Formats: sequence, structure tokens, C-alpha cells
Amino acid sequence: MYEILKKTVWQEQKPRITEFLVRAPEIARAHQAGQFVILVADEHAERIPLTIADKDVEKGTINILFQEVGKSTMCLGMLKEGEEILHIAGPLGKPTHIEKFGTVVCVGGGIGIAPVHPIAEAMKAAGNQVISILGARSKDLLIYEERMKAASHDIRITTDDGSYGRHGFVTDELKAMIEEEKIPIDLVVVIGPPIMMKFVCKVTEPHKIQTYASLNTIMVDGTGMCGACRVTVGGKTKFVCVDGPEFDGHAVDFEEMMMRQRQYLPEEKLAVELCEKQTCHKS
Amino acid sequence: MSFTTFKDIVTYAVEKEAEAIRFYTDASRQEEYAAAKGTFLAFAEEEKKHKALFENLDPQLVANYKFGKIPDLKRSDYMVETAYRPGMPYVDILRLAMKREEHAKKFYDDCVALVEGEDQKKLFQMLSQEESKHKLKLETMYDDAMAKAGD
Amino acid sequence: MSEEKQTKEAPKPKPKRPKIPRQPMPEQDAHARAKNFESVTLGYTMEQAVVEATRCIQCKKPYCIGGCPVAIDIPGFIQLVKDKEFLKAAQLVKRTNLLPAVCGRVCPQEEQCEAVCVLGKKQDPVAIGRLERFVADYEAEHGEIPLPEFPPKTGKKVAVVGAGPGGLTVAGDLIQQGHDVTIFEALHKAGGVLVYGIPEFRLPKAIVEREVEYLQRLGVELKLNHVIGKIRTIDQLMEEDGFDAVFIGSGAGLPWFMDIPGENLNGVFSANEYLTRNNLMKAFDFPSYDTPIKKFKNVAVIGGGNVAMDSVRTALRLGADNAYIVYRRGREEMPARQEEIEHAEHEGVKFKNLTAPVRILGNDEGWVTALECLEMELGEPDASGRRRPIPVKGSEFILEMDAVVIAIGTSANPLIAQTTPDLKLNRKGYIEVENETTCRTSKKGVFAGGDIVTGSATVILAMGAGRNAANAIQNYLQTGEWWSPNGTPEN
Repeated sequence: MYEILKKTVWQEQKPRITEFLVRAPEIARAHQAGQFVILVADEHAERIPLTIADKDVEKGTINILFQEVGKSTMCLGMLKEGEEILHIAGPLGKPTHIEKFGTVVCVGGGIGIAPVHPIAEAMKAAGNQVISILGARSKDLLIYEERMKAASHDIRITTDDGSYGRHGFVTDELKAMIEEEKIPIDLVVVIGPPIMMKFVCKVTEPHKIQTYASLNTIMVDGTGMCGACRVTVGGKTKFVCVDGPEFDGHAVDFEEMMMRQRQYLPEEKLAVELCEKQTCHKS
Repeated sequence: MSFTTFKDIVTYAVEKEAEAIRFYTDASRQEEYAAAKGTFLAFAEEEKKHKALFENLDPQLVANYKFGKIPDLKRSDYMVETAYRPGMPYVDILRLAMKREEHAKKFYDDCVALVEGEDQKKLFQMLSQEESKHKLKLETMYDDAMAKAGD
Repeated sequence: MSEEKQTKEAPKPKPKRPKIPRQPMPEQDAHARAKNFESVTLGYTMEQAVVEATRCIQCKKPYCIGGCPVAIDIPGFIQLVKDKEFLKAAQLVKRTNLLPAVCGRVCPQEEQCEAVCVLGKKQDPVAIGRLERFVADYEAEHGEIPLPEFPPKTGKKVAVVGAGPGGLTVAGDLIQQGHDVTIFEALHKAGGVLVYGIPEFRLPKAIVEREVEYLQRLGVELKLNHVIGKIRTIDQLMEEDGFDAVFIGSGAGLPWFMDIPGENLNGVFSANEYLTRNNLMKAFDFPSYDTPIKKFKNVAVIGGGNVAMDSVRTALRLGADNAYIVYRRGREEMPARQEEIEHAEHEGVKFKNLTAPVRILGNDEGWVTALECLEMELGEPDASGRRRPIPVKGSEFILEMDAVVIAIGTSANPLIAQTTPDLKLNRKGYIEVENETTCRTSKKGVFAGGDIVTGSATVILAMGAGRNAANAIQNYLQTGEWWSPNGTPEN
């Protein structure tokens, strides 16, 4: 059992964005930037992959952050401080390859900013010049700004509605950095919605800027056993859970990935409806 | 490339085998574990035998070459293309090697259709049959592994 | 008098034992059961068990014990059943087999104990497996066996990686030797293939839970959600966490795909995914359970092993109109248990043998619509005498399908090997051990057994490996002696 020590609701309006500070000393100790956990909220719950946004090895805690977009995340969001999460397995997946590249741009979109955070921290610690681009739909949906500031040398913000930072998408900012500011970028790391990652990769590809995309596919076990998370990278099938979650963004077949992501949309919708009608097992 | 003379063709075939030896040897170097290294080195050895056979070819040998029907299990033929990656599992290594033999055989079969002279045709047929033997050997290993697993 | 003599003399006019037929196993009606996840076989009644037990002729030299990978005292427990001492019978079985309720259900007895039963020469062998199941189930219903007495604590610590049948056996054996045993399990439930792979209708999960609880009562510590190789490495377990020995029983969990076009379409699953969703995550009970699974109309399962049979029968129970087995070889080559094949046939599974899938077709939304197949024929026997299937030219045909489940095999999960550089692997990527009795790996203090050593096999073989490993670990912990694989003492 993993106790929730602190619950922060980043954004009240639906879909809510919630952060848990959880006691998980063994996971905190083993975790490296880029790795994720699989979490089971209760006896009837799914196994859901979530990335670790922060950790404190001394205190034995990890931070996990999620948006309540499906039934499982909604149920998870109902847990209160002091309550416990039934199971957390991790850290899983391969850590981000960290070395001194030079200038590294960390791009986080929406709640994808959270998992970018430990990567930015590690890149900075490895001696890189870290510039972060954070994208959100609007100002009040922006998360982790302060932590990302601390983890980066420079920070850029974009909002879809122009309520904060550049009015536009992360791709606009990235393009401007490359083409107008002529910043020599050695590596881009991007985490966010698949469509955003796809377009970030499209921006960097003509400039031959190496780009890591961290994929968030459907998973069941998360240990390489089932292959639910398979994606095509460079024409070859890979398992996100054990071969990833990070891949060369220019080689990822994002279209196929998005198609596979849609597999259970009708079921997810049904589950949410039942949950809202309070007929699910949690009620 | 022109396949006009006997020597042209043999030189080409020898170079193709040399490439295969390099491919498997490189792969063996990239492998961390002795076992996978060994598998690739064994394949390289097989190709070396072919290379030696082709290097010593002369028209007389080809004229006396015995043609037979080599069964084709076609295990590789319906599979998608594959590529080497370090640490690939054993059955994937077999799939990779099968695919290479399938391509080599198809290439020589195409050549048979393209060239005019009977001698050249026969030489390519022989090369094709040699690749077929390798393909069968690998596909048999693969079929055994898969039959056990219940494919 | 030895049993061979007895059978030879059987036709002589001495007072002949009345010939009692092998007691049939009560089963749920095939038509009804194909629509539910309840147990297919219902188990003997007390009367049936006693009658079946009287068929055992109590050989003085019982071959059946030798046929059992964990050497259960088979005639001994059957005699106790005959005497209606059911709890004592269960106790006797449990002395050598910690998972009798499991083995009684899923062991291939027809290849093991029952294959060598002397009765089998003239008539049907004693139904050893069914009797084993009966006593285990009886014990579960009628009170617990007292815990065995333990020797004093040795102070030695053993780590077991993987709570599958092999790991559970090692843990059970070593805890009874007085060692401290901790099992590290990657998933959120213990049991390995018993919980994620074998369906409820063949092995109710409550039974596995009960057996695992028994181990915990014995004092085994169970750490779930611990993926060794990620949260801790083998080296850390031994050097930092103070474990004196490690058993690796992490199984062969990596699914193979076929490498044919269309495998990433929606509706294509590995058998592992299909079964894990249903068994471990209980997707058949969606939305009461959160993990979803689609109710497909036409499902093709590729393969002819037990996993394929489990998958195809699951597809039927989820409501498929047509559930197919597509298998490239002939029925006689199927590695699945005869009983499972027959059950599948009775339930209405359609068998397409000598049929090889070559392509999966899909629609614009990325969903499977059909499976293209080839007819196969058996070629000439090759050097090994085997007649291998060869495609029949021009025999391509299309089966309408909305799901394809691939059950053609698995290989070793590399997570542990990747983080334990001094662990030697064999050509196929499995962990190399000195031999199957010592289970010693190339790394001092580390033992391995089960599918991670042999490749996919059976529950009982993994348990047999666990038993051997436990003996070897006990020996190592007592003597501290270790030999390198070439036989030189290393200490």
C-alpha cells in the first residue's frame, strides 16, 4: 500500500489535474529520469501507466500527476490525503539517455510537462544548457512552471488562447528558436499529446535535430509481457514499456500510434457514463 | 553491373558472400552475450563455406553440378522485412537470416531469367540452389523452434 | 509379488478384482459452459473418489511416483482416500506438492504419473490427477491442515524472483528448512501464469490465492509490484540487501508475433495480452472491473498449444459467434493437452489445421477485418524424419475476422539478464544452468529454473525445477560450496 501524503489539485474544472505525493521509498530510490510507474488504485481498477514528475529519495516519496480523463483516473482522483493506493509498480521503462549534448530543449505539453521535469533536471545536472518550452491550452491549465524554471536555464511558455506567454503552440516557439533566434539545438525532448509530439518532430526533422519523444500508449502489464503498447519505430515493432518509453521521434509512426490509442474509446466512454451515474463499483 | 562473363558472375557472388560474412561478423561483435555472438559467428562460418565454394568455381565444376529439388518451407516468404538490432531474440535472429537467404535466392532466380547464355543460366541456377540450401537449413531450425512452441 | 507379475497373472482364475471403470469427471454441459467462466470440470464427489481410489492396486514398485516431477507419494495418498482419510491424504500430498489443487487441474497427468500407471497397460490408468484435486479441494472445504513443524531459524535469507509455480515451490520448500524467504513478484498478484495465463474456467483464481496464503502463513514474505532488474538488481539483492541466495523463476514472458503484415492493427493481440486482460484484470466482468475487452464476433487464435486453447475458449465465452484455431500443422502435432483440445471441440471451436496465416487485413479505422491464410500440406520427410508443412501453391483464402490472437510462443523476458551482466545465457536467450538438478547459474549463489531456463513448458515442470533448485540452495546454504560450471570448486 502506498500512502498519499499530499494531494494538490492543479485545476478544479473538468477534466481535473491532480498531483499526489506518495510514499514509495524503494521506487524513489531506483527511479531515473524518463521512467514511469504502473498504478492500480483498488481491487477493480485497471493498471494505468503514469510518469513520475518528481521524487525525494531522502524522504522516500514520488510525485505523480494525472488528468482525470477516464474512469480510472477519475476514481484515482477521488482518493484523499491519508488514503492509500493499492499497488504501484516501478520504476519501469528505460531511463532517458543523459549526457552532455550541449543545448537541450525540453518540450512539455499539457500534463506532459510533469514527466519532462525530471529529464530537464537531469539534463541540467549533466552540464547541458536547458531551454524548456511549456505549452498549455490557457494560463490556468499550466502546471509545474516554478519547478521547470528551477530545472532550466531558460523557459518559454505558450498558450493556445494567448492568456499567457506566446499565443500559439509549442511548435511555433520551437520554430522561432530554430529559424529566427538561430539557437543551435543539439537535442529536443518532447512529451505531450501524440499529435503535439508528431508536429514537434516535424519541426525538428528538416533541421536534423535529434528528437526524443516519450510515448504514452495503452499498457497492461508494463513489463514486456503483453505487447499492448507496441508501436512501429523505423519500420520495426517495439514495445513502449521495455524498449521505451523514449524513441527517436523522427522514426515513430505516430499515425499508427494514435490509431491504436483509440481502441477502447467506446468502452472508456461507457465507463465514465456509468461512473457519473454513480453505478460503478466505487459508489 | 554486367553479367557477361563467367568471371563477372563469380566475382559478384563471392562479393555477396563476403558481404554476408561481414554482416554476421559485425552483428556478432555488437552482441553482449556469448550465445548470440555464437549464433552469428556460426552463420558467418556457413557463408565462408559458400565463399570458398564460389571462389574455386570453374566452368567444369558448374557443368558437373548436381541439381536437385530443394524443398522450400516458405517460412520467410510471408514475413515482413526485418533488420538487425543488438540483443534481438533467437527466433528473430533466425528470421533475419532466413530473409537474407530468401532475397539472395530470389536475386539469382531473377538473374536466370535475365541472362541469355545457357552457361550463365546454369551458373545462376547453381547459385540459387546453394542459397536455397541455406534457406532450408535456417527455416528448418526455425520450424523446429516454432513447432515446439506450438505455432 | 511385484506388480508386473500381478498383471501377468491377472487372467488366471484367481478371485478376480471386479473391474471398476475409471470414474468419469463430472463436467458442466459443453453448450452451457461455452458461455460462462465457471469451472468446466466439477471434481469428483466423495463417493466417486473412493471408488476411483479402490482401482489403485498399490504396486510395491510404484512407477507413478517416478512419473511425477515432484515425486508425490501417490499410492500412499490414494490408500488414504480409499480409507476415507481425506484430510490425511491432503496432508501427505502437501508434503511434496504445495499446490495440489492447481496440479490436480492443470498437470498433463496423461504424460506423467498416469502414463506409467500399471493399470494403464490393460485398461484406463487410475485417475491420479482427479484424486489429487479431490483431496486438495476437500481440505479447502473442511478445515486447514495444521502447519508443519519447522526447524529453528537458520538466519539465512533467500530471494525468489517471480511468484509463479517454480518460485512458489522454492519458497515453500526453503521456508520449511528454516530460512527467511522473500518472493519478489512483478505483477500485483502472486501466481505468475496461474493468475495471468490460465483462465478461471480451468483454474479458479480463488484456489491460487488460497495456496499463496498458505505460503504466507508458513512465513514467506511476498513483495508484489517488484520488477527485479528495475527496482532492484540481483547484485543489489545480494550485496546490499543481504540475501545469501537468489532463485530466478521469472518465466518466459515475452510474446512472439508472426512478423506478417497487419500485426499492429487494432484487434490483434498477443495471447498474453488477451489472457491477462481476462484473467488477471477480469475484463470479462467489465464494466464492474475497469479493464476493458472487446466482444468480438469472429476470433482467430493462431497456434496449437495450451495457451492457444485457453485463448480460443476465452473468446467463445466472451461471446464470439465463431472462434477458430488456425494452426499450420496437423492435429497430431499440437502440443496442447488432448483433454483441452477435446474440450475446445465440444464447446464449438472451429479447427483450421494445416492452415497458415499470411496477412491480416484491416479497414480505414485500423481495425482487423480478415485473415488471409494458406493451406499447407506435409512435405517429404526430411533428415530428421519430420514431415514439415509446405504451402500449397495458389491456396490463399480469406477468413472474415475481427480479432486475431497470436499464441505461437514466448521467449525469455530479458529484464533480469540485461541488469546482471555475469549471468550466462544460452543461444536462445534463456539462463544457462549447470544442469537441471543443481540449477546453478554462472553467478555464485544464483539459481534458476522453470521457463526462464527451459523455454515455455508446463506448471508442473516449473515446480519440479523449483524442487530441485530448493534442494540445491539448501545444500549451498549449508555447505557454502559452489562449483563453477566446469566443475572446479570455487568456494
